[in-house]
Amino acid sequence: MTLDRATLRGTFLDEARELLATMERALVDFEQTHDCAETVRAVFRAAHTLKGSAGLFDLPHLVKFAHEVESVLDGLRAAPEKLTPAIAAVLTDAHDEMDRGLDAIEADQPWDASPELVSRIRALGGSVSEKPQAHAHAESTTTGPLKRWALAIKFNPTTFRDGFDPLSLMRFLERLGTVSKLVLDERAIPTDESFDPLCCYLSFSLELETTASKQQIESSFEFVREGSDVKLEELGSSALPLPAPSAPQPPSSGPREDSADRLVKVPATRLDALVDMVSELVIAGATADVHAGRTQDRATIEAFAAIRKLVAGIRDAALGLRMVQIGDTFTRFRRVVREVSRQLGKEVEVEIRGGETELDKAMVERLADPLLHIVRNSIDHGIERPEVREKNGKPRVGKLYLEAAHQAGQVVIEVRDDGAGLNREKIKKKALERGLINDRVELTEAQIDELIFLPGFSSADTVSEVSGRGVGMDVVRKGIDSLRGTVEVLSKPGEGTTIRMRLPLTLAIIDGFLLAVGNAHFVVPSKLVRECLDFGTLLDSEENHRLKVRGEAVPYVRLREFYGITGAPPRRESVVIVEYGEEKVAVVVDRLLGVSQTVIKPLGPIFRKYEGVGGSTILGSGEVALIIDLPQLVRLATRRRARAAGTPVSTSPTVVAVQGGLPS
Amino acid sequence: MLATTVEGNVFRLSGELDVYAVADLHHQLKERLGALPVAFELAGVERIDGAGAQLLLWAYRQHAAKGLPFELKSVSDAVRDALAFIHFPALPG
Repeated sequence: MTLDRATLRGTFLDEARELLATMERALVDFEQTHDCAETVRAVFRAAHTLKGSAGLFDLPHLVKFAHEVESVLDGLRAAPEKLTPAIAAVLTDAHDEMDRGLDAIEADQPWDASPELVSRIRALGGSVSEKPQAHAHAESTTTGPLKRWALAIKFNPTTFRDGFDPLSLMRFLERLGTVSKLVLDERAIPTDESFDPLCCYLSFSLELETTASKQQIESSFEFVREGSDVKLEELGSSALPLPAPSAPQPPSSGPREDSADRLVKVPATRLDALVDMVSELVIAGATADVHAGRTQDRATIEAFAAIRKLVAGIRDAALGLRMVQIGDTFTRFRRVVREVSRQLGKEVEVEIRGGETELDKAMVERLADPLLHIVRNSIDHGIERPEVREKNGKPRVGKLYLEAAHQAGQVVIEVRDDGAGLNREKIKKKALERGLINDRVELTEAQIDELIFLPGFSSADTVSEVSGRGVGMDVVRKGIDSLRGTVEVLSKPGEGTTIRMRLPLTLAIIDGFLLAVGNAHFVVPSKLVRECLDFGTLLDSEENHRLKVRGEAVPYVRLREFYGITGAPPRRESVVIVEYGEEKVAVVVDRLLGVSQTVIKPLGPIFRKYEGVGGSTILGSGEVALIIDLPQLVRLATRRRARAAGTPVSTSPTVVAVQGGLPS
Repeated sequence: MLATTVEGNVFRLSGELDVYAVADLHHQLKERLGALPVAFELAGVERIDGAGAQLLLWAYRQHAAKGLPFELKSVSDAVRDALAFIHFPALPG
């Protein structure tokens, strides 16, 4: 099979970037955890694999540089406690250099590592590693008793091709203790035509005297375990004969040390195709269900109900495949914060909560930019300089909280700082200057805060180098809008600012609650439905354009009016109370049609003009229903009303009484 | 990178005798190895890995199988270190 160069290169780059990301993560985490052993292991593994990969793809400059890094890490493996933040900083620089190397490779440009960095790395090597001396006891971090082990290893024939060097693995053992009685079984090397120089025929047996634990010894072979035959036995006082290396068995049955790292790589397109198929399956299942119902045959109906249940399971599992933890993204931000703080002379500490919260992968990728803007703004404008903070009785080091959680069918992400809060005077002044508001209207504090989201508003006097071209919160809001989410700001002067984002869990398939207005069908996610009522019973209690539902004032949206649906409404309209995030909205419709499983399909062009709609779906009956995007609907409705009344936009959803027909 | 110069039946190697160099070197050696022994000068080899050591072992066994003497005329420190570790026969004293 011939693969063209571009594909091969693409494969290598993908893998390499992932490895670098792992490396970066480990180094960043080290700042918090100070877990030397784990950090060294993770970074070594990444650098080592990267080197092997680069070699296979014929990238000698990268191989050489990775080798320098690997050498330092090799030294650290036997004495991980030697890892200091200073060394970690150099390793971080090395990571960045390799990243640049990958960029160059991608752009087909020549690249070689900076000689200054290489000498810095080599200088580390001196202080960290020790020249292995045959028959000398190496420094050991373990305090276990001295034991004798018999080790026999027959390496996997593909060891060279996989990018590993058996010789250096064996030599590593010298750092753990005293190696003796080493025998290389050369008979395994063929002397006839069949010899392949890239095939590994090496097999060793030896004795090792060490205080290291069995696990530590085995971890030296972590990379090559699979496909290699490794025998490690403690030698008792009865000197047992060395076990001879036997023929290799199928890949080692021993548990890999990090089962959490057992991952399978799947092309994203394949995953999307699977999710698409599952979507079709859901629709087909729902249709079949409808037909089964018509047969009135109990056995048939039950059979299809069983299928539907299974389909629901597959659906959840398939969608789950695309979910990733937001913690990965958050962790990357630790570094951003560190660098930005340094540039701006601020001291900031990051706290992450809810990192295990899961989001659709595509969504996480598109959140990176908005989050970056928000974080930068926080450090730039929110958190005060250390002297200022001290003067105000605050701790010198400012805190930046990155939090995520699931809430009522949404993902809520918060960026919170304990800085100075929004400067409302300044904001109002700026908005007036830019003609964004007029001074005749009294604004509430919350409304002033909201002004930062207006396009053309930038809260920086000078475009600070860090925040970029005065990129403002309006860009952030646009970004979150495109994800069908919402973003709001809460601020307490002197105490801090919170930016809160709410995002839908991108469910390609949802359990929907069906509504009808005239001949039009709508769906709201059934997870969000709180209760159903008769509109008639609430009419009398209408007050300030809100409905009183058991003493609670709930804003309402009348779909008939919002979409300008013609025809006569029924005598008794129905209301469905939905809750999204912390808001409640009453949606008034003609008829309630109950629950059904629906698949979200992107809106065809004909439906694009329907605002407040997040997608369309085909019901089991074959009809099309529009899926309501509640936050968007409410926001749009509120804006329309405000525009009609000539007042500034406020975030609290109020009445929706729209004149006119469909927006065109 | 491995540079190979051949004078008669002496292979002078310099650079890195590693997995990237072995395929080519093996090819060259195969052609040479007939009834005449090949001798190696490895003083210029800065680095040797498992694949390189294996190839040297192969060359050694080839000579042994044909009843030819095998000679390492010179070795660098790195090569001596590595070959001593695996108890390579015919290491110059």
